[in-house]
Amino acid sequence: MKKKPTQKLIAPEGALGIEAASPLRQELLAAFAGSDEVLFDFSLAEDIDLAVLQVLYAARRSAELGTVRFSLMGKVSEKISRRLQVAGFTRTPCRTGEELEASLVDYGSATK
Amino acid sequence: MIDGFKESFREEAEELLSGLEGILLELEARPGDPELLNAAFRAVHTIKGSAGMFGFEAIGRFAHDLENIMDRIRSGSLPMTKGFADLALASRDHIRTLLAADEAPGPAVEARTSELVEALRAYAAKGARAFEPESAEAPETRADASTEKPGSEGEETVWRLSFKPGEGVFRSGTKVLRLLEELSELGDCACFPHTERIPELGKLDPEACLTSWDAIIASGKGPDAIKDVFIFIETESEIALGKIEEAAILQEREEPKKLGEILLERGIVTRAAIDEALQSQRRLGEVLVEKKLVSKEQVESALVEQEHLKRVQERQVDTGAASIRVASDKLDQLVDLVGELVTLQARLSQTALGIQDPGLTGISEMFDRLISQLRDNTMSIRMLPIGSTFNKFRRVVRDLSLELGKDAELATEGAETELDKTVIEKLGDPLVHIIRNSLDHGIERPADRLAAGKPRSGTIRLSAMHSGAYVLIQVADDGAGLDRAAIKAKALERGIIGPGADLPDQEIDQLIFAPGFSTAKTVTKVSGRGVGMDVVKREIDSLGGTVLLKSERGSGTTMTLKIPLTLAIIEGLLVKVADEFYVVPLSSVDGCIEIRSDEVAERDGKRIMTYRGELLPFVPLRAWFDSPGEAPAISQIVIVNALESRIGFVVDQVIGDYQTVVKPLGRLYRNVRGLSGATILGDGTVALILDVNRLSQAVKRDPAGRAARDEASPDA
Repeated sequence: MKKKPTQKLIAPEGALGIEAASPLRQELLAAFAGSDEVLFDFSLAEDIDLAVLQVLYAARRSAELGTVRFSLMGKVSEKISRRLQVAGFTRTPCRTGEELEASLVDYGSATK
Repeated sequence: MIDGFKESFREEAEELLSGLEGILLELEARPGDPELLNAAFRAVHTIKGSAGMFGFEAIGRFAHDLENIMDRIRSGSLPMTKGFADLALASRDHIRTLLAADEAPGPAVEARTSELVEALRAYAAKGARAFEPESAEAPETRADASTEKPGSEGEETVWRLSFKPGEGVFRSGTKVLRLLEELSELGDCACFPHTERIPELGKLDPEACLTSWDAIIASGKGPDAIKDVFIFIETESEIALGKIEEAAILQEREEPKKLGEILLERGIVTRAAIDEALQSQRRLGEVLVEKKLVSKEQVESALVEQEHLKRVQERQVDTGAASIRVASDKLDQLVDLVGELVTLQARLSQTALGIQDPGLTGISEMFDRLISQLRDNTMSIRMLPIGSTFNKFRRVVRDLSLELGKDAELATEGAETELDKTVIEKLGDPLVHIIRNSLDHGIERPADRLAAGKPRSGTIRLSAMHSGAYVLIQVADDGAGLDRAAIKAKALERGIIGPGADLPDQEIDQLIFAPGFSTAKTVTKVSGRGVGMDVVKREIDSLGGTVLLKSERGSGTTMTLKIPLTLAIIEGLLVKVADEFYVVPLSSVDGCIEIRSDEVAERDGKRIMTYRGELLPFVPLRAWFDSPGEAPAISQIVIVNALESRIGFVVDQVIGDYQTVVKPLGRLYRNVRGLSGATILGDGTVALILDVNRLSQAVKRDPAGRAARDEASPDA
């Protein structure tokens, strides 16, 4: 019998500053170890710092090296969208995690 | 050529100084407003920069001191005080004086320069204390004052920035994305992040900054302002800033920068590698990545730069195309030429009508349409918002209030209302006279206002609005209103009215426009010389406008100027009296009716007709202008709106509407009243343009027309 794929949803709340980077990394590592698919939901995130963004990039790199799917989802706040665009991570405003995933510079080409 | 540049500089500087005056006055009300502070700084900075460029060195040196202080005020190291506003306004006036003096300022101007520079440096050294009585503290030296870095906002330059934050910057609490936002606030910015150093999750140190950026920024700020964004992490970061090009120079490039050029400038590849890659006839970026000469990210970053440069280049071209500066005399020549075309078109229409050739008539009609469009477009080019002159009045109110010990402010409305530039130029002096009079005679002293239950500060409201072919400009004050008893007494004393004259209020009010009339107890330099309101009336008349006055004792006075939108070309009604042609401005015409010759005769010394249920006076122009010959059995009366009433002019024939190019009457006719100009008809005949307001006034004063006829005739 084929094992049912497991999914892990990570949906951090509020402003995701430097202090959120390390716990998020730990949570993602755990999720990658125990799931087939990891979803990062932006819906409750109000703001994001570079440290957290780097963690998402790293998660993407891990996904590309392994077998776990890693996806971005949920509504992206205007503040986050603007911040990422100004810093050059995206060329256009992104309203959803899916749009963001497709737009982030050097984020990775293949979706597992 | 140099003179041409100098002239351009003068024009630009005049505009900037005019704007600066308004900004400084606004700053008095909102001293901490960063936008106003920046705008004031930018104006002075531009004047300084351009002055140096065009050889106005005295202005450049003087503006430098003012600029230094303004920069320190906007950075918060000096306060914006009332005392500095006075000093800055005086400095602004002095720059105008220097501008007028060109390169040869006299000793008085040089002395004023020294005086102001000393005051500016004292302010730079002591801040607000510079305006306090002498203190024991020694002033700082000039060198100290000038060590403040100017903001150096000026010509837009495109910069290339490479920013690699130190890995530990997160731990010091630095929000790197916020720094990039700050950078983007300095100009048009595009960033490209390099994330190649970010590893997979397991190897990531979440507290290490592993991202770096290439950024392109087009900014008017100098390199220091850009570097200052990163000032708190500069020691632990790698920051390289290099100038790509002046934005204005980019505009001159025929095509955008090529990818190879950018990679070469960045020192990533050699010319030889590019030349070799280009030989493969494939995309340069792909080839270079394939050969591992550059990384994919380096190419992407260079492409971002290329695209951004292209955008800046396009923006420069757009800005250049949006407006161009043209000398006003060239515009006047254009209007004159359009006027000649209008006259020629009238001749063509008349000729076509006579020949009755369908082909020629078609061409004439098409020509007519095109000329109308050309006329409208040309006239619209000369239209300027009247608000450009409002700043001057704000200054008048400010300075005079101080001088007279009164408290008043100027409120303006309708600054965007457009008027022909010639009309705006001629309106300046009359409006200054009216505002001065309002302040001097209308607005009461603060104590008197409080006693009368009014706010301490008086208000002069200056407003402008369109009304058909006219603009209505109102100056309304909430002062004491006209003292009619005093006006009447003075008019009697001056012999302007006879003893026992029983005048209605409206006519008493009009006495203030009489030459030499003044009720001021003492002659002040502000008003009270008895020339102001007379000059106002004369100048508004010369513009073909009218002045209406309404006043209520204790509540204030409102003066309304009704001014035609343009002076150059008007729509008129062409009429004939005997063998002469006259043009009545169409905007004044209310209607035309027929009248039999026996009805034209004077009855009981008056000529009165009924028009739309209203009794109106009328005057036969044939008799008025003493034209020879007999009137036709049936004549026409053209009813016109003049000032606040209507009047009819009897003419032999109404020919029809006629687009009229107004030509001034010659010197011989300069004192003629009742005629405002002349025009040339299609067949070359001269037609005189009636000044309906003057004529109606003359008729009211002298219905029989004898004295008025003398007025309407050339001075012998």
